[in-house]
Amino acid sequence: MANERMEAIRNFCFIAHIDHGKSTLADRLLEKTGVYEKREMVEQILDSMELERERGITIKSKAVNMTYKAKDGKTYTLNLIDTPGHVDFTYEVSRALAACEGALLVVDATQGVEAQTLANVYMALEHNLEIIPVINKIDLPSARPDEVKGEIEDIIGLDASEAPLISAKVGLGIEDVLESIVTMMPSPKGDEEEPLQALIFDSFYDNYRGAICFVRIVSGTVRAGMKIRMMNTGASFDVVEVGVRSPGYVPKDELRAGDVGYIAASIKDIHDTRVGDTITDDANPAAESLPGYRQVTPMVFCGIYPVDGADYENLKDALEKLRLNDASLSFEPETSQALGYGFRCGFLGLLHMEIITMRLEREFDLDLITTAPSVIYKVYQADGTVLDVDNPSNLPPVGEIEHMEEPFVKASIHTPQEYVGALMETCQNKRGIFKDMVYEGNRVCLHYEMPLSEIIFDFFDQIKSRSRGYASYDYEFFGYQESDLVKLDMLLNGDICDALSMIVHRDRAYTRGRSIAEKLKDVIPRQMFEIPIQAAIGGKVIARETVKAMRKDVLAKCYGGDITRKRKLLEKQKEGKKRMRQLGSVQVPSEAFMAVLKMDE
Amino acid sequence: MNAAFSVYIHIPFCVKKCAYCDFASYGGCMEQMGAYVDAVCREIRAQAALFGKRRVKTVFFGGGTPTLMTGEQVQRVMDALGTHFYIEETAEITMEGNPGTLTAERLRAYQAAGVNRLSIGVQSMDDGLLAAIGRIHTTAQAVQAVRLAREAGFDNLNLDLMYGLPGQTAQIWRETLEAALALAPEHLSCYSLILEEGTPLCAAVRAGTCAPLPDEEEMDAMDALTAKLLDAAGYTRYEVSNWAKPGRQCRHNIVYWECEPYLGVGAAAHGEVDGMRFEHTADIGEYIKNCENPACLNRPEGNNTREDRMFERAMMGLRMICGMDAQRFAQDFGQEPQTVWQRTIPQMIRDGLMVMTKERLALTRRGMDVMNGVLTRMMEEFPGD
Repeated sequence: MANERMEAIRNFCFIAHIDHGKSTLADRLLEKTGVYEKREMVEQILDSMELERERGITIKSKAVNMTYKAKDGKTYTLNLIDTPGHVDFTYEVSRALAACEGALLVVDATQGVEAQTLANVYMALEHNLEIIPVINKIDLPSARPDEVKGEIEDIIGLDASEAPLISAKVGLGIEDVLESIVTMMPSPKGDEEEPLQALIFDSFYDNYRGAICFVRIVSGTVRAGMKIRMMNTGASFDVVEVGVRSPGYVPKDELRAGDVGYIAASIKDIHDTRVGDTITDDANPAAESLPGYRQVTPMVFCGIYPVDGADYENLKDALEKLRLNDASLSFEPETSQALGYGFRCGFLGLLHMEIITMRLEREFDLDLITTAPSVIYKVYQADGTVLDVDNPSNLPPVGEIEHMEEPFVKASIHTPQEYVGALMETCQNKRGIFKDMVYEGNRVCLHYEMPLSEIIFDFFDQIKSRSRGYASYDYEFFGYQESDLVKLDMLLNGDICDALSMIVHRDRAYTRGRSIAEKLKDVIPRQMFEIPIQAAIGGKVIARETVKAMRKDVLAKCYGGDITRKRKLLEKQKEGKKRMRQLGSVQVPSEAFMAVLKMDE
Repeated sequence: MNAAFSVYIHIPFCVKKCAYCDFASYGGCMEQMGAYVDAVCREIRAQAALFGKRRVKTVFFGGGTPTLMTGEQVQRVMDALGTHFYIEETAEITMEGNPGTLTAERLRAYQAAGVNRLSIGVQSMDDGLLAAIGRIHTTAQAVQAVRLAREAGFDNLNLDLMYGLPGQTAQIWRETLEAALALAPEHLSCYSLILEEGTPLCAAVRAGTCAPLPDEEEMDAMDALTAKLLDAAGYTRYEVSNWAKPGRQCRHNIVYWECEPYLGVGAAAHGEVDGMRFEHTADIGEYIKNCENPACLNRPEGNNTREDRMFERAMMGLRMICGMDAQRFAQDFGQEPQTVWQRTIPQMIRDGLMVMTKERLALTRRGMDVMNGVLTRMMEEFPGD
């Protein structure tokens, strides 16, 4: 039931490998359509979060509304939905894609098609998007647009003959891109007379308006004053305002089928605006919610502690603020003998965890200690009960454990052929079970079943380093499987340090224990006593290192003129020690707890 | 009569500043010595007016290089002290000196002025090392200085020695110790080198433009040698870096370590009298200008809290092998040390770092080696930490 209004709408997103110029092209489109004046442009305006700009990644989805007067004389509304580009956020990406009809495939004219691009193309095809290839960076001397066109046709199977040749950096060919969007992408479909169905593809918290939902209206109409209901969570709210971002909030009377925009409804808790949920009219609800809703559950857990115990309340406030804007972040108070009071936090993945800890440190100026990440283990106890354990300290005694299961994922690794051998070895080392290998032109997709715990450890780094950055991977959870798991403890001066304990596969325990002991030996400074460092499984020591006692630490001279100065010198030494944790009689610097995070076995 | 105290007199002049030195001393401005000594004498009179005519139990001329003073200049300072204070009959009167500046005539004059102890900055008995650290004298001059001092009648000598110098080995240190012991001083100070920020030696070590510092094993060997040779020669260690023949400990320095009162005279001098710690300007011109105005000269040194005081008592007292006077501590602060540090002291005793008797709280040999760690733990026990 397309109408003239819908005919003039195009909803699209980008597919691009990192660095292929996605954000710069977005900037140019916004500039060309007058959303921004040239002089106002900050580079990569969509990636506004400081961290995003620094790391060149998009963390949150965003939607911007543009108006474009095309060569056919008509004026079009273009909605650009920018999507996150990391495996931790696959679900969010899939919801953003579900809100579009088309995608711009941005390919670097010097690099050609990359593995990550392929994975995203497949996802776009799954959502039936019209994909328009765009060849970027043609201003570079090493550009080889014809070859790249060939690659797009051979590897992806898309017709690239009409692909605009552009340079987002110098602003070349931007109009061609806009024309392609208008002429080649389909307009949205949907019936505005039907009951309301609006797909939430992003939400975030605004201090003044509460949680704001970014939606694609699939059918029906939404306007201020309406009572809406979240079909999966069941919560209902009164709509205060609807509108579009361009780039600020531009209120509209209503959003109708085919539109992309925001809904503000004084929603206090972001958990009521879950990505993938369907918003409907409370008075006249749709028969069913849109497909694909999944409650996002944290997969990776770790303890986060303030270095200075006095910062506990500040950490709590900061986590609460971040949670306002991040429905996939969970946390609850936790106590560690070694680290004091802190929080057990749950994340979508390792990158998500890294982003949250970095934001806590930067935006809230907190010094933190993060414990080794853990997954949720299922512990089958002798008495028949099953326990979910995400913290090694909560593992029952060995005698009470019947057996344990750990989560497994299906991992797909896309790589150029030459790295297949190295990557298979990596997967093997990570206890991966080989399932399948698929050739895609001169590229290969490896399919493995792997324990999630191995993926969260340093899999990303290893895949990247063993393929010189060319390989990418994706994974999805598929179930729990029995594993021979043990609790690895680290002992400092004979005492177990709970913050360093971890659950590992028995086959890996020895190497990991030894390597952590070695790392700890390097980061723990010499002290007044010799400090034995031991790794142990169930009381049996499997590795031992020693931090030698400090030889001498005494001021050679101290006379009448030195008293105040020397006291201040010792005060400084004491302040330096404050950054360390006191475990029994051992001083342990914060870095020691990080030592277990990144390993190179 | 007011309580007795000690007097420290700072002479901030040197022929040339040594490469490791960050003390208040100035090379090559000897022409100011006359005016400076005048100022010191006038300050003594003014301080006496302020604090009263006290008994003086020890006097220490430190520097810089006090032996750049003529006998007559030393005599004037001693006269000023004798006029405005009561110098006790048994007072220890020490003068620090550089072997390169000592003459028979000066030594006789110092002796005549009342100086009865000499502390000679020998540092090393290796000419290469002496040159490397910027000393102006040779080993031959050091030997000569000791001989002249004995001839002048000094029966109480200290030699300052340094170890842990760039390029120094345990063998070189052994030779220095043996040569020093051959001179039979009554007292020996053996300082492990402290690299002070901003000194040329510190810069050279960092930049690698001098020989490297001895490594840990070498330092261990040097420490062991010091103990072995000095013990065997009849010296007893009584402080971190100080060794003496029986009854020859430096009484003046013990005043510092016991935190007893001392008057500081001269530019950059520090003093503590009646519970007030003060320091003088290091600027010689400014010092000379204000020398008769103690109210202006005696700049209070920081705002010391009761906890600072208690801590300093431990920081200084524990430097001595016999430890800190626990009874005096309890009298002065109204609390026994084991109450103030009720967590740390028992822990340190259990760990074999400390020993406690009714009278004194002392460090063991191992405790002495890691004294900074012991002290920071004591500091940590104060409320608020």
